[in-house]
Amino acid sequence: MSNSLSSRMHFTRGERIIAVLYGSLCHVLFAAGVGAMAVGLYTGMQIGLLHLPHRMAAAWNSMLLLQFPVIHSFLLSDRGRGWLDRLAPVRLARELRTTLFAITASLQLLLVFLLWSPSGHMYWQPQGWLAVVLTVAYAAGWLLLLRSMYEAGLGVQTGSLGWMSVARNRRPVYPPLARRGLHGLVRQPIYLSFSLILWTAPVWTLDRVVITGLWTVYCVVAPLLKERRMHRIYGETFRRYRAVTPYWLPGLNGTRVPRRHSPSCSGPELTRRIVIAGAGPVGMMLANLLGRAGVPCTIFERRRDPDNRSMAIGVMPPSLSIFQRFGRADDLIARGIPVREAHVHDGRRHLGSLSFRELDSEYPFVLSVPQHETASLLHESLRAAGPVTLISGVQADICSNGPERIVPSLHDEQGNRMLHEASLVIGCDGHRSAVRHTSGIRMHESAFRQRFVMGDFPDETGFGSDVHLFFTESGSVESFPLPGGMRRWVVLAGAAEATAQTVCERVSQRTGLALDAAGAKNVSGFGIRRALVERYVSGRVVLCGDAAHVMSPIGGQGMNTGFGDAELLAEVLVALHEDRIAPSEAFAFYEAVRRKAFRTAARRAEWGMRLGTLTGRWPSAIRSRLIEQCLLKGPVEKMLPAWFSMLSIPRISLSNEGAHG
Amino acid sequence: MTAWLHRIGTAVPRHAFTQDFALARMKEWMAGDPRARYLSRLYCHSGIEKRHTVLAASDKETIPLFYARDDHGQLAEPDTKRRNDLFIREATPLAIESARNVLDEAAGLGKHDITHVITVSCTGFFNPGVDFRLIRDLDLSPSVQRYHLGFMGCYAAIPALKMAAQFCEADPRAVVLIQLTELCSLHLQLGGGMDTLLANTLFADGAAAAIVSGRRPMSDAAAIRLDPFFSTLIPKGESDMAWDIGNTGFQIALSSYIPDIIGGDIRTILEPALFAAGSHADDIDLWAVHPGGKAILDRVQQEMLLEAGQIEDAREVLRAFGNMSSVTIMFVLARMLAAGRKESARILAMAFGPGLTVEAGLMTYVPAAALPKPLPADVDGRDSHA
Ligand SMILES: Cc1cc2nc3c(=O)[nH]c(=O)nc-3n(C[C@H](O)[C@H](O)[C@H](O)COP(=O)(O)OP(=O)(O)OC[C@H]3O[C@@H](n4cnc5c(N)ncnc54)[C@H](O)[C@@H]3O)c2cc1C
Repeated sequence: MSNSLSSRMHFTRGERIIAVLYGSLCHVLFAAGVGAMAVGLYTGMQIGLLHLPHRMAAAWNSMLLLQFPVIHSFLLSDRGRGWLDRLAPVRLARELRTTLFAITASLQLLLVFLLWSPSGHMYWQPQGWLAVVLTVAYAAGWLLLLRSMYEAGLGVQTGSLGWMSVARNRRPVYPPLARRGLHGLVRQPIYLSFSLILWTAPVWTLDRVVITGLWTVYCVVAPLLKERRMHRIYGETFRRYRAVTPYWLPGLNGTRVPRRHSPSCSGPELTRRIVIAGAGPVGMMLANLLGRAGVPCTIFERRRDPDNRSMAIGVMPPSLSIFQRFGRADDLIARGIPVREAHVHDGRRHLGSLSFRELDSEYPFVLSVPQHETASLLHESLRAAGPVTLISGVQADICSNGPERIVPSLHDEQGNRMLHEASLVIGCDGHRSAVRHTSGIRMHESAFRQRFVMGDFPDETGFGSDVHLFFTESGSVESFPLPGGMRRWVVLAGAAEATAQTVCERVSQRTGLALDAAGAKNVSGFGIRRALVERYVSGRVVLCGDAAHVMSPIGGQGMNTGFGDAELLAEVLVALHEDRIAPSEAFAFYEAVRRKAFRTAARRAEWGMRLGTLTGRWPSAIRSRLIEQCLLKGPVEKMLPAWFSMLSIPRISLSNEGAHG
Repeated sequence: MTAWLHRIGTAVPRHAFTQDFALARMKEWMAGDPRARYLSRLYCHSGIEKRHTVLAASDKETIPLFYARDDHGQLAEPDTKRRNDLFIREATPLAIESARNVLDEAAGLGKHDITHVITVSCTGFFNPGVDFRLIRDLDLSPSVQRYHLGFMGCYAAIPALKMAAQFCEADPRAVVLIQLTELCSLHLQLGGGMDTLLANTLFADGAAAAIVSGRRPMSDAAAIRLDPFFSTLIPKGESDMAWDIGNTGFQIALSSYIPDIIGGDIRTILEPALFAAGSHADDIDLWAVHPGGKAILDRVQQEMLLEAGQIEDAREVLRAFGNMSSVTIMFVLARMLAAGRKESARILAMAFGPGLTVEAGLMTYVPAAALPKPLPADVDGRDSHA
């Protein structure tokens, strides 16, 4: 959680207002600039406001045309950025960079098209159907431009990233390298679509010929500079991207280097010495599954002693089926409480209930069991798991990683080294994954404003094994049964301190129930993030569990999604071990399936959280109606239990593509 | 006079390697050697997960320090002097670290209380040696009596304990510091037969120190009471285990029959000895067997009908540290001492070595609460000494 906190900044109110002003200016200018360009090009540059004598017009127009590429490129250089930074108050300059850049670019465009001095030489103006065709092509050029900008990150392209970050008191997070969609066809779709616009505008005047010629050259040359910058920022990722994607024209593959991101050896070779970094629930699940299949692996865990903090409590039916693969589902169930019923209330009344009894699963319930119990069961069953070695007190980083070879750096906190050879490293080392970090895999993340405080209290409610959710106008309260006569309470708490007192106050205010602060355990606060790695596999590193993704804990799906990752990854690794599949194919499959599973789960978790945390009288009243009339009634009601218990997330595996758990 | 094993301190070199790593290195070094085909099986069934070594620490960059290939691709085998020089450099810091862990002023077992030092090692020699350095670096009294048990092999911890117990018997004020240091990895061999192949899978580096005294233990910590010791020989194993000095390190003879020899004779050896000590195998709660290898533990467990828990400490030490020769059994006893058992427990410590020598000692783990109450005279005795 502290990751999301550290991305918080502290701007004063005044600074944030200034940022909003910059933002407004930026977007107004941007709209005007783009508008002027669209009209200007379409009419063959005849809308210019100046009317200079011939000679002067030629000089003036050339200057207008040249200033754009020159200044644009200059501002992207280090020196230029220094200049740009002077355009805003010092404390904001760095954050506002994208906004400042968009402002100057828009101004430059406006300058070109409004202060143009038209020559009046008309060469050709299409008529009839030809005009229509060209206009359509012109419009298509704009749509492609829009699409490319969207892929590259509208925030950066339109300058909103800068001012919005300041306004929200956050550090700007730059999007990862765009490599899919149009960016998968060519590396510079923005410049390509821009040239398309230049060439498809219907009216050909002398001015138009000049601008099209000069700016096309610019569109071909400028990205060369841009790519140097991208190489610096994205490093290896960009190099690989460049190797497989042509620069400017689709189909022309510039360098044609073989695809380098998947290991170049056979499956058995690759899985000979599997190292798992991190013995959290996900790492141990993976080791259990691998060990049972006779695939040797060694886990290194940074901690010396087990982690007793209590995080995940909800174990979903699909996860229970994974435990059953090595016969431990019943042992886990014995350590927890099966939840068969969830009740939803608003501040005043009971809105409805959700029952898991009818779930189409061997386990028609959601199991509530503290994470450390789950972990300790996984740890115990490791002993019987076969060729698995667990070594505690050793942290794994990646020293060097590539398709041919991986060198992990294994050491304890004093820097003492553990020598071990690895053919493949699986990063199961949680959301702050050092494996991810040291192998240069970027994570795309966003934070939400909701903050929660949770705590476990002795249960005096009589709610038994049911879950109770209270969605009230002053915030949510969620209450889950725990083994040992305890109950977990999670309250929406804004900026309040993470204390038992906070939980008690919120609970009593929103539900009228009294908790005893003295008996509280495990009180902690958490914020909400969503993060997904740019790639699950790089060289000989594979990520799994929280190391690859983080989602809102509200909804209880993070660990379960991690178990799903582990299940599929184990299957893929076993297939590799037995030489039934090629590494590139295996990893592409793993990544595609699990990325999708994460997205689905995260979307649901966020949707649920958003609905649950709406505050205020009217939103709350509407929510109550929605829940009562639409969600807990009719066809939706039948779908919801499967939805919440993750049974409706397809468990695609190598053998049964698309089967449900 | 009862002798008590008060405290045990342990130390291992900073760096460790997994058994997988050792296997991979060994395969690389022995590429082309027909014996290399046994490697996987030997390493995978060793019951060892990791071992510690001074080799990596000696030179950061060359992990396989010893056997780097020369310009012609030949493995250069270091001679005995080079190996012993490394011993001289690495043994002292490790020995000092283990001894520091064991001195405890508060319990009346501080540096001024030590009257005897016994050092043990079979993996390197130098003089003034570890015993001298302990006196110098830990600031013990120069008049401390020093003894060194050299080259005895894996069982040397038991004679050291026995010797200490006898000092305590002779002098009620004696406080004996036993310090054991073994850097077995210095004697890694690539030549030789299956013996060395097997030895390479097992041996590791480590150090331990212990304090033995007739004084009453402080009642806030558990202690181990030393009861009768006994030794014997299994002559038919004479040629199966040996340790001598070669030109390229110390050389071991270690046949794979040892577990069978020990397993076959253990009952006939132990039963009369235990009977003589007024005890019986069934009375032993904990078996501190020297984990010479996994097969030895398996055979002892099988022959003596032990439950897994009775011999688990030995297995755990083997798993996490390998065979550190004479040091190993002290790690096993240290685990027993630290486990926080509430009940007294009967321990049989047992180690094997060249000859085939069997050295054993009966001991009793006594939890803090059950320790004898102080006698006024006892307290006086300590005060006047300090
Ligand atoms: C408040 C809260 C409530 C939650 N509730 C739920 C819930 O109800 N249901 C649910 O499914 N999920 C829930 N989650 C999410 C769940 O806790 C995580 O998804 C889950 O713990 C992820 O498991 P993991 O094994 O991937 O990572 P972790 O649990 O983070 O484990 C990582 C392990 O790796 C070790 N490690 C770290 N770095 C290294 C390194 N470099 N080398 C070696 N070891 C390393 C760590 O010590 C740790 O043991 C919740 C999360 C929070 C914060």
